[in-house]
Amino acid sequence: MILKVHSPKRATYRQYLLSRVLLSGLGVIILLVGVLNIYFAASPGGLPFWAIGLITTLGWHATFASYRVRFDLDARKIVLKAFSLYPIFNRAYDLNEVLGFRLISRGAKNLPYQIVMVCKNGEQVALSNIRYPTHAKYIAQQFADFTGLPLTVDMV
Amino acid sequence: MNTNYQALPAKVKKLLRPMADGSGISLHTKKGMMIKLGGAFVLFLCAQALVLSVVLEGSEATFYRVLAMISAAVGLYLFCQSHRLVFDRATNRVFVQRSAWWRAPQRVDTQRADTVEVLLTRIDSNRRLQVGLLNQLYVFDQPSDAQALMAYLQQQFRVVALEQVSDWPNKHPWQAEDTPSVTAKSVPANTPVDVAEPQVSELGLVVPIWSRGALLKLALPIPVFCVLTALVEYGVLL
Repeated sequence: MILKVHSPKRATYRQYLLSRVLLSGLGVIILLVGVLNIYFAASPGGLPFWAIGLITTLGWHATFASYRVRFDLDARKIVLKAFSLYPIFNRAYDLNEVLGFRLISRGAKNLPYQIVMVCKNGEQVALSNIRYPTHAKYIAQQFADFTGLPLTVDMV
Repeated sequence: MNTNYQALPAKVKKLLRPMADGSGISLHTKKGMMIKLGGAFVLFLCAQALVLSVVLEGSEATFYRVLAMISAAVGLYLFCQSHRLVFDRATNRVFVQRSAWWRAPQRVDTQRADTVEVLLTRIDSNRRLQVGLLNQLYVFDQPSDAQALMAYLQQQFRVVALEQVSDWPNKHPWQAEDTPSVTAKSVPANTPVDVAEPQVSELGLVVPIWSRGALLKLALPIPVFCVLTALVEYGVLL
């Protein structure tokens, strides 16, 4: 995932294009396997229907699913969006309500580091889960630099 | 507040280990924990190699004997290291103390305790607070434990106590709540929690990226494709 800056006022945090293409290529193959299984489901010796459903769904999401965070400084909005040909969620936050960004680790649990934005009403909204601490710091610093908001690094 | 070491909550007493000669207290560091964990892991490998060196025969046994010796040496070397953050009472200084059983303790990064910033922040929820000092973070499940640690360090070593909980990006001087000073046995642990509650209750949990509703939506194609397959299988479609 990278922060792609389109203009000084607009940026998108999205998947790196090469990994997106590679994942889609793999996903198309799995999706094709699933679709062929559905097509020949009537022939004897096929997989059970729930297995075909799972494989096809896996291929579908690997091909089409994506998550991105849009930063729009003109409209003062941060939009978190996930879709997979059909919308999954689309949450918009007012940038004026955001105090800043935090990089947190979740205790001693084996969970990735999390970049959250702290809102004025006390809500903390997770923007990104990143496994590697240096990369997490780099991305969080990019968020803070682009929006001009403070960043605190609270990592164990 | 708790100025007496014995009156501290059990979690804090576990964290603050008194020095053997009573000259101060010491806290574990992340580096020290990683070295200890690495040592424990290598010793675990050593145990496996020992078992295999007994069970197997011939050249394989020799290989595992050599491996057991090497991993025992490395594991013990790592496991006997100690890397701790020490608050010294006599000189009122903070330093990192590195030692092992074969060499005398070495002091690095010595600085005056009253210039050290101790920062109280919240972690992912309103119940959990963390105390950060000198690039180390200590997470507490109970807010009262974090408050007790702050109070103890402030009173004993006069550190610069700051809090980032009430007004997030800005740091404010932290002050201990004036609770009647009684022994820990008679005071239930929730007394400082009630005092700390108005300070932290306005802070919420982290909203996850993938909420349960979003995950359900993500799983939506599974029943659709299952039904499609079943329809094809029973000859309704195609």
